[in-house]
Amino acid sequence: MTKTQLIEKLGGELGIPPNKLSDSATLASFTAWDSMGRIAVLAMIDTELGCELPSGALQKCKTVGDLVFLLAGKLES
Amino acid sequence: MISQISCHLPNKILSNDDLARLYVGWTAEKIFEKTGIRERRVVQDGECASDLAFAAAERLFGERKREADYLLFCTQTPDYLLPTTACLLQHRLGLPTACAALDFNLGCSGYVYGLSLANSLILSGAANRVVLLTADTYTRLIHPQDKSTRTIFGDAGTATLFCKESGARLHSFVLGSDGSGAEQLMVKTSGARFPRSDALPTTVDDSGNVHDPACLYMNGPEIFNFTLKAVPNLVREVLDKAGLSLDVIDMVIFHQANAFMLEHLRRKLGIPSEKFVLNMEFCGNTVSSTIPLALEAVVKTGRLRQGMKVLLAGFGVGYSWGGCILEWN
Repeated sequence: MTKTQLIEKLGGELGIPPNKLSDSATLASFTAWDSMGRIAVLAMIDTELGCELPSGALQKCKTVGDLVFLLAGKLES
Repeated sequence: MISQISCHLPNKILSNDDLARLYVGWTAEKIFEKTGIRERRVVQDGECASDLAFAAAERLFGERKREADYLLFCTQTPDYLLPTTACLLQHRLGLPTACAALDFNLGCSGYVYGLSLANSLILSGAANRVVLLTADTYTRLIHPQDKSTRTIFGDAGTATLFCKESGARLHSFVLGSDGSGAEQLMVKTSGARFPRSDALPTTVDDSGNVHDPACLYMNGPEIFNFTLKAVPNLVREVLDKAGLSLDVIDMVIFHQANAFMLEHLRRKLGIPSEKFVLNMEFCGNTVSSTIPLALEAVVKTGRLRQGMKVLLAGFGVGYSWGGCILEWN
């Protein structure tokens, strides 16, 4: 999965157009980034990238760029 | 061996329509889509976990009360810190004074732990008739402005009777714990570590959920993360211990946490949907009571039949988890 595909999937889970998900976009500014929204994103990451995040890792992500950086090792260039 | 299961739900209903009226921007259908729950049963003022367990047990016993020689009560919302609520229930149910009675404090894994305790008591010869009760009133611990928990949890009580001579066989128990996750699902000022007099601040998260240290706190994403790691291993270990493959398992009943989480776990583990039980639409997540509620439902509808092998798995607060195989007779 490429970064572009990840952003598309993230937009799908949160109901947000991918063009609004720039690296600097603050996750907490999206209404859908609530408890269930974050669970949906974790499920997407598990399904698409087959990886489980370390405890607390998602909570530390403040921006879309933080999330992409967290998953960088699993993304195709 | 399990000979009978009986459940009780409180009368009061908290529907998605009720919640949608309280939370701006939420609809009843949105809550259902996110949780798989349409309504929860909730206790009224003065109604305790022991009342729910009592109602479930009264339906179970009939004339067999005098035979009970061990009472186990799984709850995290006891009537008192002391005395043991199981002792109060022994008296209220009219069980003999020769009946042992104890509480144990577990949540979502509690029913499987209770099964392992009851099974061991029977197999060791320490008891002939064990009554396992589960009940909780989590809804009394929830802050009214915490959507993340109020949409999920409901209250219930269940009773399961074990007889030495006959009933459904249990085996291949796998149990585990990881206290590193304790803070992810917690009522912080519920015991001696942080007495209520200690001024811990009430906070509001990014989604507007109010977290009062005297109320239930749940970090849903971290709990989900935990289940992704723990549940697939648990299922594999139970199957390995039983020497069985998933193909020969007739039914899988997980703790009914929320429908989204369960559906993801089902797909991840490759469990066919026709073997997988979802039973939370009209009662919510009732903590240690979800598995017996689901068992009672599949027995009533005839979905669970003689000779079927069922994989049970409970997981959650602690963290704590447990699984086993049930052969229904």
